[in-house]
Amino acid sequence: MITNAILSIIVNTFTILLSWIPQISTLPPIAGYDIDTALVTGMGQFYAFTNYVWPIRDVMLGAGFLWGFHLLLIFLKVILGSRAPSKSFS
Amino acid sequence: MDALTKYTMPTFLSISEKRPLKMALGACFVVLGVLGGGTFAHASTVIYSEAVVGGVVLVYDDGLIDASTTGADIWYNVNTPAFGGNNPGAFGGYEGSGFAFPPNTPGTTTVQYVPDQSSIQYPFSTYFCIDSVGSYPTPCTNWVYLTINGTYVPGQASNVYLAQPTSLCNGSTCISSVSPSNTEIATSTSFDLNAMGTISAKDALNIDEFITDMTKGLSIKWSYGLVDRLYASCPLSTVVATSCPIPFAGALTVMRAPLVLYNTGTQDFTVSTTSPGLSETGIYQLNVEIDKPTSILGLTSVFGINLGYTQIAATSTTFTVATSTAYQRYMAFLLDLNTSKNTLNATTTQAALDSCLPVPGFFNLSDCVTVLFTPTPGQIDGLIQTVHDGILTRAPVGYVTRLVTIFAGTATTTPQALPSFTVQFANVPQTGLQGLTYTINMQDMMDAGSSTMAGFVDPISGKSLREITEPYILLIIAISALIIIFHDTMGIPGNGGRDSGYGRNSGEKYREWLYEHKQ
Repeated sequence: MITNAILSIIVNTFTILLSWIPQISTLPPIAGYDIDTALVTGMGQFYAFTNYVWPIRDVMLGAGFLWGFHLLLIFLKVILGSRAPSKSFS
Repeated sequence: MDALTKYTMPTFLSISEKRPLKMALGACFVVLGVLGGGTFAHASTVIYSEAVVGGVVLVYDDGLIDASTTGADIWYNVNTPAFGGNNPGAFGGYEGSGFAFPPNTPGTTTVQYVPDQSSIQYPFSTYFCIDSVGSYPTPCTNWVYLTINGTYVPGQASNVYLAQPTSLCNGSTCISSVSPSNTEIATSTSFDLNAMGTISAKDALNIDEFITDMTKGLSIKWSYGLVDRLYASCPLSTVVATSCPIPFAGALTVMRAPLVLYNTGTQDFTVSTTSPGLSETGIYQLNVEIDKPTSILGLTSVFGINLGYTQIAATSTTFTVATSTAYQRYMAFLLDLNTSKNTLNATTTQAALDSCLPVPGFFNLSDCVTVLFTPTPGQIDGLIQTVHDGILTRAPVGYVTRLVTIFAGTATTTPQALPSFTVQFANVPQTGLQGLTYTINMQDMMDAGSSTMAGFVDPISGKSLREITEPYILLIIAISALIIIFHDTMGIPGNGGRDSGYGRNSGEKYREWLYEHKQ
């Protein structure tokens, strides 16, 4: 209850402060081409394809896991800065 | 009649000899039933069937007893099928007595059916025994008796029989009945939790028989909690307050008991355990589920840590805990609990705010701290939704959010079909195909292929090709991902490739070499 109240105050404060910024519901067209519809249709067809060729989803699951790991490394680098034992992101 | 034949007819008789015997026996039942003052009949599927000369009683899986009398009171007194000796009533079973059918009045009553594990553990192949004074001679192991005007109905062992229960769920895994269900139990009184149903051969596969270790075998999980409080908004003078329940989210109590398999095929089960008494009155929701240990490649634990349970069947019902004390009703009224609380979440135990009240019977420090500082799943969902709608969808982050939504496949709920391709042959007269157009519909092709693949089913386990092979594919992918992470962080195996910097790798060694040679 208390935790929820604190988090709600923070979140709602940010929501109010950012309320003047336009809300994005679709991607903007690029050179007149509706990239949003194209991507939605393309991903829909891809997911339809993976319904049949299901090992692709397993591979994507593994790839997503690795991406998450590397995102975690980037996050650590941002947080720790020069104290991070990493050299590859500097 | 098959059940009767199975357990009563001597096997050395031929069919032609059995038929008149059956007819004679049936005629005896009718005649003796009428003359003896009681006949009982029921048309539905018989699970248990007992008959006594001079009267016939049939007890069904729905707990119904049908009876009609001619000129005498009939009391039923159905007791427990007992096992392991001449000790009727030692185990749970049918419990009910004292209902009277007045003279010349047919009637129907319901006895509470309390299934017991022992009733399914052994086939009922023995006869009931009863004599004219209601005793049960050795080796009688199961008994039921019927009294008419306080006198035991005379009977003989061969006239009382019990049929093996038939499949409760038509061979598939299900929970056919649970208790307590739609009944009322008293406060602070321990009560039986029961579940009855069927385990299919497919779900019994790879699970050892006679195993009681719930981390390796099947188990029944009962979880119950208070969903509606009684008396809260009712006047203090209200005694029967079931008309004014209020929603309430109580903490869930979880009980678990092993579901023991006795063979490798489809089989019925009955599992029981005893719950401690409940002190708070109200309507409780009871969720019952059949669980099996979560298994990955046949392993139910990794490094000694159990992988948890996977639910294979579930049902839910409600029961009422009543007979509250005046103090409880007063406290409920005093606390003015007539406000809607969260509805019971079957998978989450959420403490109630009244656990913080400094009132004996309500205060619970751990629940109070939990409810004060731990957001509920609903609150967390609401926060995430607020962050998404109010912050993450604003420009410029909103473009990234939109991309993530699209790539996650949640941008639209409209299912997409695979595209079709149209091929037009070139205008070359020699081919004979010039000008023709062919359309290749990938969706149709995939549908045809997938239905063919779905036909490849292991005849023993009934598992599809995907169910069999996917765990191995996931294992290979998981090991590959771990090797890559290990390589990135430790620099091994190999000393090349990508360098995340966490550990000694080629780049670090090279820098050390440079540092040493600068000295």
